[in-house]
Amino acid sequence: MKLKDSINYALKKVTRNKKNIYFIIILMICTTTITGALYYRKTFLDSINYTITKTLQARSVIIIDTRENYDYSAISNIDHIEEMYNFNYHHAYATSNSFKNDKYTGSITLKYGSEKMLPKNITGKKITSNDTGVAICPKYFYPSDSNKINYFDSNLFLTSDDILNKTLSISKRKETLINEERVEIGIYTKNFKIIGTYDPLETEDKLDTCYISPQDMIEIYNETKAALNTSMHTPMYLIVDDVKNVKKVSNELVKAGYIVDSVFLLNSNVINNIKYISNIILIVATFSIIILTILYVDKRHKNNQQKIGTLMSLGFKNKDIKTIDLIETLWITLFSYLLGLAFTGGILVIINIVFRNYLIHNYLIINHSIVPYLIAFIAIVIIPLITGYFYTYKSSNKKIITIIKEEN
Amino acid sequence: MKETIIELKNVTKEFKRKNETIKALDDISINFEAGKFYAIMGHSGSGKSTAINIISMLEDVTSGTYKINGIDTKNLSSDEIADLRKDYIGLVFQDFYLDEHLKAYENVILPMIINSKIKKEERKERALELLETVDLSERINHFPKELSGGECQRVAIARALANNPHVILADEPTGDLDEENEHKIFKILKRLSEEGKCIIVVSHSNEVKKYADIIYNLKKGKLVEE
Repeated sequence: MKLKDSINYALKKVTRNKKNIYFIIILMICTTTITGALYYRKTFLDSINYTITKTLQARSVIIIDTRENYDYSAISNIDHIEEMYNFNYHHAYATSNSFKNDKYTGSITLKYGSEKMLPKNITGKKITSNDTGVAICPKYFYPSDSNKINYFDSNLFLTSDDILNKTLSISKRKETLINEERVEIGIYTKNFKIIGTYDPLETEDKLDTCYISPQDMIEIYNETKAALNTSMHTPMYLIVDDVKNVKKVSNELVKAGYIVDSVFLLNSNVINNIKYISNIILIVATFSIIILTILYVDKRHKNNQQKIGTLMSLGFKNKDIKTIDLIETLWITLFSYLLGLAFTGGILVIINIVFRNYLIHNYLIINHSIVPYLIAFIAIVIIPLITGYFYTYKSSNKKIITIIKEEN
Repeated sequence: MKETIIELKNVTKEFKRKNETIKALDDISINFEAGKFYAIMGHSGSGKSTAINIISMLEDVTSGTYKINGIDTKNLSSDEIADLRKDYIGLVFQDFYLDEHLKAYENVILPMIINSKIKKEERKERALELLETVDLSERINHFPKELSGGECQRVAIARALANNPHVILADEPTGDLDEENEHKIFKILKRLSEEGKCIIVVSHSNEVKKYADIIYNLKKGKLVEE
């Protein structure tokens, strides 16, 4: 029997049996579930991986010495530490009067801009070690409370052209403690010239964050907050040279008696949770497919016993029967798979378009990959084929007359 | 003397049930010739179905010789037997066993797709001719569920003729049909025997006696000519 005839015959059987539609729909849903779960996993893991490998957060460690005679000199004996500074200088919140208007509240974040801390890619000029009164701001600048927006919309922001070489004048409350209460004792103001811009999506900084020189940062702290810090246990901010060394450095710091907090360790838990959830979905979906396929193929074969026997009585050989049966299964599973792919692809395109700004704002990028489709192919096409072959093999080894006379 | 198509010599078929051995066919010797209409009759449980299963090579013999067109089937593989069945035998079942998802003419084409002697472009034409011989020209595009019992059986006969076999074997072909359709079916089979086919019908209906050239009764595994 020619393969073309098998394909045509199987296709007729598939397209004319309306009961197949239920199985096709179920397989299509399973295809979408599997590819969806894998895309969820990949997208979030890629995002976290980016944070870990490309941004400073993953290489940052905060330590505090809670002992009475606190001492950070031991840190100099620990390898792989690129930079260390007083955590009080890490960032400060201020109000920018020059960008305060109806559209923006003017609230900004100022960040410690040492050479190691600055973004790698800057348009304009960088801050050098001697600079003061200069700032590097985001090229999507949103001088308002960023928590109030949960999506990325370029229409909301000030661009590089809008802010480069402009003056960023800031003001901040000067506070002190009187009877353990914070009391304002004046206003600190300073002007910065915006000499460069950076991409906050690369560094995963908030869109209101401007980098200033270490000297300016220290000055702002000393002028506005130093009086509040009655604790001698000042936390220190460390940057490790490579994310691979963070765990090792953290362990050595703990040994040295410090309390350690690391962004990387926090993300490891998130990574595990994402993997765990997506693995559960995958296992359940794949298991469901296997069970459903076995039930479907089993039922189809029980219903087809007579047909198989009749074909054999007409002179069809075992291999002819197996070929027709496998092609019939292949038509159904392939069709379901392609439908599922189209559906998933359509959903991903819609998500990318409709939720584009939200995704960008949360540093999530849906990158197309062949892996989810290959895994779905194995689950939706290969496994049913193997199952179907097993049942056909079982049938074709029975006596023809037994098959013909078997009840459904 | 007409050509012998199927030859059974000292054929016995036994079945083992629990601790006993049942002889469904007991030392049967018979030749089936072209151009004759044979009827095999017997009560329920007499071994009629076993007889037709043996004759159609759907079951093996326990002992004895079975030859078709002079070929001894004893040591043939299942594929070789399938080829013999395709070339020499057309089967008609009581329950028709048509493919419900194929139209009438497509059911008739079905056996042709394994016959390399019939070209693809000739299949439909041949199927339509066969359906015309069984008086179903106007029902070629109907599915089995749209046909009556008699019409389904006629499609089954057309299908059995698809590869121009020498022998038509019918197992209770009129079992589910009314009297009028029964006559139609037997008339068709009779005509085919007059055209040179060897027709073998297993039936409990006495109507077949009006059409058969030779009638056998099966009693306790023995075949006795009436």
